[in-house]
Amino acid sequence: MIVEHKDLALSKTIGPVDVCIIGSGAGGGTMAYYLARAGFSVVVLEKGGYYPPEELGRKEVYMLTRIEAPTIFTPAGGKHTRVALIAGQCVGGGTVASESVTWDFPKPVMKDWARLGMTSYDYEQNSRLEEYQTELNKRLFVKPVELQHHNPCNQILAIGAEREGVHWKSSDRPVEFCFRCGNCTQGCHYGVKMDAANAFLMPAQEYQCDVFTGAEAQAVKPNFNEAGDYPYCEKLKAAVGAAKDDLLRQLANMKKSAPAKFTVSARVMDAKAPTLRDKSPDYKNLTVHAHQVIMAAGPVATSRILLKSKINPNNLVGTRFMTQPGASNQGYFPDIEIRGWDGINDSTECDQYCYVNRDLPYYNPEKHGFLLESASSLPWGMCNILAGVGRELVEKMKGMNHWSGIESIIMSDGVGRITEDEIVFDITERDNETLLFATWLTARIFFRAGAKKVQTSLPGLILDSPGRIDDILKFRYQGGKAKGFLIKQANLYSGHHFGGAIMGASREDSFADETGECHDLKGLWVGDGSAFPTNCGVNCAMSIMFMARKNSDHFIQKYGSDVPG
Amino acid sequence: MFVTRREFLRAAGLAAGAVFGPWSLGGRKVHAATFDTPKLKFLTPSEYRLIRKYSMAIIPDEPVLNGVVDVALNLDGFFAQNPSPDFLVMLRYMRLIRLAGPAEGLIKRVAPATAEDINSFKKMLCGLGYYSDANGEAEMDPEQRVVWPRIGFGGPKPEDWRPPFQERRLDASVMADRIKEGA
Repeated sequence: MIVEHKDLALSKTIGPVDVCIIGSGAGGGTMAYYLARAGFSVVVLEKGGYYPPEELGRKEVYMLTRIEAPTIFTPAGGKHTRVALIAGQCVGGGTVASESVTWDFPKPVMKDWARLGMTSYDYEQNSRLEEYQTELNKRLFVKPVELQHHNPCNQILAIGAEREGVHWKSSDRPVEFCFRCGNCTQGCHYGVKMDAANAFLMPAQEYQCDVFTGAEAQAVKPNFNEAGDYPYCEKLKAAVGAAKDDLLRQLANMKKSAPAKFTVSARVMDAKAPTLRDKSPDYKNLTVHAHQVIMAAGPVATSRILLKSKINPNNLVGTRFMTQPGASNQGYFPDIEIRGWDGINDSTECDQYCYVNRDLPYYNPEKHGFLLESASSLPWGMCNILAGVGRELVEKMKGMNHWSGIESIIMSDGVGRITEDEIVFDITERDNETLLFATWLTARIFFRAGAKKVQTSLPGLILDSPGRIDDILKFRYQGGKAKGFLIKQANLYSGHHFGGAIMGASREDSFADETGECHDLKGLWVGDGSAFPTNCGVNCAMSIMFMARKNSDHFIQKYGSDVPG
Repeated sequence: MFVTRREFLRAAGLAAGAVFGPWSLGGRKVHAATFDTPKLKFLTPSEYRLIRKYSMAIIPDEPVLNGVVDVALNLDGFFAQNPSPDFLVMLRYMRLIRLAGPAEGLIKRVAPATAEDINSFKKMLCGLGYYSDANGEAEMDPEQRVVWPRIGFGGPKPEDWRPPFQERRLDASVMADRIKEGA
């Protein structure tokens, strides 16, 4: 059931429930479904609102301000980088607002994770991994876009890439029958895109899963410790005889008075109500007593809730924050009507230099690490993408239908930090090289397809002939001076974020174990991109769903016997 | 002398505060219409006047210049109707906009990132107030629309929309390979 602000009295206490999930995106939605289906009582807290299909799509900015988090307006910043972070904030999270390009969880990344000591990610040993992927792809109707469904903007990438001799392919998307209306990033008006809301949360309601909307989790409070929690687990290992009995008695006493191991406090607002300038929103308090808590609010919010809750073992929370910064490049084709907004926004991609191809013979570590995706936008987006203001922008906007877009998304080596009030992130010198090469290649693809000029994301760099393509490489990092994309004016953005509460083999260097459960505090789980110990290098919704699917199984294996009946 | 962005913002904030007086973001109500401002739901009359003045310079397009589209009023309605994003934070850039005119060259030189912020704010005014759905274009019949026909945008698909069997195909044979030509 969807529960909104209007459905609540002034304050409400619920539980004890088996599981409280904070966040309803790719991770939270997936875990909600699988755990509810397994018989656990599940409550989901989602900060954003619920938008049924009839309310989605159609209006560009109207929807953007409703289904996305305001981090887009307050970019992550470092010494010389600014990255606008795009994250969902509605029932279904980022999957609702995403263009929904889908990649299987990459096997090289599984291999990396297995090498980090998370041996259950070794796909050669664990046959379940293949089954999870197949099951998810089937559930989400994932398939490549058919050739005749690429609009001209997407065809330009294909034509240019083919002439340049680089591999391109049709993107996989999670939709059985797409209406190709072009408003994917405003949510699917037809309800056919298999985002986390459609694929998991709506079916989860059949198993009595409640989703509270407008519910911003404030803190997670552990009410007692158990034998598996740190430092009791160590103490119990060392203790013998009466000392051990004493410890166990202490733990049992702590447990007696609390309704459940965790209490999650949240404030609930009307997520659809207008911003009031002269007063704060009308908040109602919600308290959830839960035996288990799953953090799945996205790396930024998950880290911040944990920090606010003073749950920060070994000061690891908020560290190892990673993104996949993207830069947008535009090709101008005055003789071709492109109308990039008409049809699927993003249905072709050039994957030749993708990080996940690193096992292929032609792999070159200096060049690999990025994806090129065809991408156009609606008027507000185009107004932001096209350079200039005043008369220059007015003229460019009048020619909006002649611009074609390709974005380069890199697998950044950068590692940042999330604190309660800032997000620190810098791309690295290698990232800069990768972005410059990706921009160079994009410019070649555009000119190969006949572009008259190419606008890059490098401030002020517009190429009016192929002879100027090598100008891009002049922006390479040179001896301590920030160059190229290593400046804050470069327009970088990212909708793929990871880390902040990562999984790993030991409690010294990771928050959670490879099943997603916190090393130090049993019953607290991470189920979203926060748990990723490394960048996954591709569009991440499916990778997060994959991990959440796997974590759900671990959860059921560990606690399945607790389900009544 | 190199000035960090943080230092510049602090200085600019103090200067703006001193010049324009206390500028509280909270505590303001609906403003009744005056001789030169319409009834406002979110913006103050001063913000309205400023945005209106700047919109003429930032969007020198006929419907803005002849008053058919009132960008400032669109923004007022948009801010008043929309939840969650921190428009108040965005409006803080209004202070910098006031300073930006006379000091643009200096800002670009000493604090390029701030110059970029100001530029982004200007684009936000264009995007939200003019090109986006804030002008009500999405609700209008196609023949009533003012802004979108000027940029060739067809708007959202009608409720009875069904996709064509095939998208429009480009004829690659007439698309010159400019790299090959130049080689």
